Parts: sequence; C-alpha cells; structure tokens
Amino acid sequence: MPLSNLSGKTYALTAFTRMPPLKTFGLRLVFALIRLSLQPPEVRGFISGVIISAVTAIVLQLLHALGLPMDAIMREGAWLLAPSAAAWFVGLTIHLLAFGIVGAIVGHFYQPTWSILGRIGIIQKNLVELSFIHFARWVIIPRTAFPRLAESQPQEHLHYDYLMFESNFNGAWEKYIDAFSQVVPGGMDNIWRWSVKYPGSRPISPFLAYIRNCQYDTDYYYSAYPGASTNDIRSALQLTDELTKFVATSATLPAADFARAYNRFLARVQNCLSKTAPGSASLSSPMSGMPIYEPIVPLAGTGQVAHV
Amino acid sequence: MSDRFGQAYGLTLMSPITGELDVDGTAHDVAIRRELRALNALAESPLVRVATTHLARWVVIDEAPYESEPAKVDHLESKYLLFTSNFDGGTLDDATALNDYLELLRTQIPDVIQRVYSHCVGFPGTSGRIAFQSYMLRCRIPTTFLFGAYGQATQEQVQQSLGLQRTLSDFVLAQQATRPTPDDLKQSFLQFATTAGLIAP
Repeated sequence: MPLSNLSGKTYALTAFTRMPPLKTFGLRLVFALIRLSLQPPEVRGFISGVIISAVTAIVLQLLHALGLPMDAIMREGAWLLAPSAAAWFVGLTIHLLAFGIVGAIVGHFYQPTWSILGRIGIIQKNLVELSFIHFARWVIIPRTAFPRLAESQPQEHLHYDYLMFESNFNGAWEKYIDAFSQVVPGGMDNIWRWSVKYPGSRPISPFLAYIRNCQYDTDYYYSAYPGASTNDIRSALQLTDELTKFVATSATLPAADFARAYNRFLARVQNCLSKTAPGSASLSSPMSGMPIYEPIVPLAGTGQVAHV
Repeated sequence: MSDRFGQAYGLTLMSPITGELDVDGTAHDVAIRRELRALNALAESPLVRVATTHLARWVVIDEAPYESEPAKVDHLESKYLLFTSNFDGGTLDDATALNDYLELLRTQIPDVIQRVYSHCVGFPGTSGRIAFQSYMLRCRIPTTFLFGAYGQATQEQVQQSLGLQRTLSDFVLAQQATRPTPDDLKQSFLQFATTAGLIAP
C-alpha cells in the first residue's frame, strides 16, 4: 500500500490539539495579531495608535474619577459641543482618530521590532523563510462546532475546543519539526501554549513526542506537483517573471548585444534553473546532481567570450 | 478573509461518518478507508480532474487525542471524515469561489464523492447541485489562518512555470553544448520563445 502521508516529495501532517475553551480566546488574539502584522505598515500603525489611545483614554478617565483634573476627553469634545455625554463621545472619537493618524504616519516610516506587531512580523518573516512549506493552516474548532447533520447523530459532549494544524512540506518529518522549532520557536509557542500539556518547542524531544501523539495519518493525499519542492515552484515562478521581462527587452537587440544580455540574464536566473517534473518525484531537482548552467557562453567562430 | 492567502482558498470540511454498519456488515469508517485505499492504488489521482486544486487530503478522525493525566478524556460520539483542500479562489468573492469549487467536485469526480461520502451522515448524493452544496457547507469549518508559499499563483500558473523552467533549462544546456555564434544564439532563443508562447508567431 502506498504511504498516504506522502505525495512525491510532499509530506502531509495533520494534528489535533485540545484547549480549555477560555484559552481559545488567547489563541484567537494571537491569530488576530498575526493577521494584523500582515497588513501594510500604515494600517498596522493606525491600529496600534488606536489601541494606545484607548488605553490612555481609560487611564485619563480613571484619574479623573479619582478627582484629578484629567478630563482631557471631555475637553477635546468641548471643542465642538457644549459639555455633555455627546461631547464626551465626540472627544473620544477625536482622541482615537488623532492617535490612529499619528500611528499611521509613524508606521509608514518606522516599524519598531520591539513592539508586539514588530515581533510577530519577524516571526512571520521567519515562517516565510521556512522554504519547505507549501501550504499550512490552523483551524480552531469550538467543542460545540463539530457538525451534527441529523437528529439520529449522537450529540458531542466535549470538554475542550480543538486546534487542527495541517501542513504540506518537503522532506523528512523530524527535520521539519526540528526546523520549525529552531526558526520560529516563539511563534510555535504563542500558537500552541494554549493547548493541553504543550511542552514548548524546546527542547525538541518532548516536543516531537507531543506532535506524534496528536498526529493523524492521512488516508488519501493529493499534490498537483508531487515532483516539485517549494523552492522548485518559487524559483519556477521567479524564472517565468524574469524570462518574460527578458524576452520583452531583448528580442529586438542586435545579435552581439543580445548575446551579452542573454548571459546577464543567465547569471541572474541560474539558481532558478532546474529540470523538475511536476508529475514525478523521481526526476532530477537542484538537489540531485543537476548540471551546472554556465552564465558565460563561449561564442564559437568569433574567438570571443561574451562577458557578463 | 482567514480562508484565503493571496488568491488561494483553504477549505476544511468535517463530515460525520454514519455510526451503524453498512449493508455488508462493515463499519462505515472502515468502508471509507477501503475506498480511499482504492484511490491510492490508481495510477492517476481523480483529483487531477478538479484542476484548480493545489493540494488536498482525506483523513478519517477516529477519536480525540489524549495527552495523559491530568487532562480530561474526550470521547467522540461520531467519527469524522476530514477533507482539506488548497484551491484557486482567483478574484472571485469567497462564497462564489467556494461554490464553484464544490461544483467542480460534484461534476468532475461524482463517482469518487458518491463512494466516499455515501458513508457519511445526511449525504444527499451528487445529483442535485443545491442539496450537495448545502450539505458540504454544513460540514465546513472556517479556517482560522492559512499560509501559502506561493498563494498568489494559480495551479495552472505553477504548472506552466514548472514546464517553462524545464524547457528553458534544456535550451540553456543545448546552447552550451553547441557554442553558437551570437546570430545563432539569438535565432535559437527567439524560436524557443515563440514555441513557449512568449512571443507571438
């Protein structure tokens, strides 16, 4: 029987972990921050500014309630309206918008790496650099959300919410988990710290045992490109872009200029060249004894070499 | 938009498996595994016919995991058939992209869907579009976060790029072997680019 966890070079990992329902809110907050970190810097800055202003508004109101002359929100609203509940809300809106706009301007020029979003942005970048992941997903399944499609189907009575993690990656299982643990340990821990008995991503042995315990074998696995690694696909997409540009700019050049442009093009894309077959895992890839694509082509009959 | 990363869409379906035995006296989860094992034995996957699919899997979820004391034991009353797929959503809105994909499943691999899902609770068959979509949407669990290394590229673009990568690599090696003059190199390249569809003939 074929190994169903594998399709060519790609491995299918499916794991379920469990979380006490209240902790699920923590995980949802983590994913909200991750999604926010993917927004343009101005949007991140605006939202950060609004969050900071909301905190300052609460502090100002608390100080005012303690009798200190800190009613800045009402004063801001009084620019437009006579002191009233409506003026307070207008003041609050001005307060939030002002901080948000300042945050957007600051965010356009500077994203501090020490901030929460800055740190998550680094984790996100590291995740992208884990170049062997094709696609991965996290799905929170609340304990009451398991589909029940008929009265005859027994109702679930579960103690925990569930987190499904699915990944499609190249290479060996242990190396994948190890690399995940090395490259994005903070990101891993932030996502799984809410799960029951999560041991942390370091040291690696308890972590490997934990993943093994909650992993489910795949019964059927399909990849449209079983012979291609993530890097093969990324480099093929990059090569297509470069080749399209090269054709557009070089087709009308005189032959000698074309040869020089061709060599420069080869120098740029030589790491993208490969003979990966999308439908087979057995053909060669850059990792399996590929020929070297030389960026300089000796020009026969001219006695010259077209230099890059 | 958590079901999306770039243009790619992440679909997650969990279909409860019928609890009783089927007409052969086989448990339905065992029958599903038998069907999926038969798919594994095919030379070509039927999912090739669902041409916008990048990656997909079926997994039978027998029971909840248990992490040892002091965690509480959760026992699943039903077994579930998990289906996940990463497919091209393109520029369509989420609902249209999802409905189009479900329709592709229904029309391109109806035999497979029928054999596998006939063991699931409430499966209406593949003959009616609306009943089929309604069933699948009731089984759908929204994705919390999807990540893709090439979520901006469609399946067709990836296939074409891999093909172009292979043919260009062959071309480069052939040129190195023949050591052409600049004139010959340019002529050969233009011919290659025309054949590859990069230049109009």
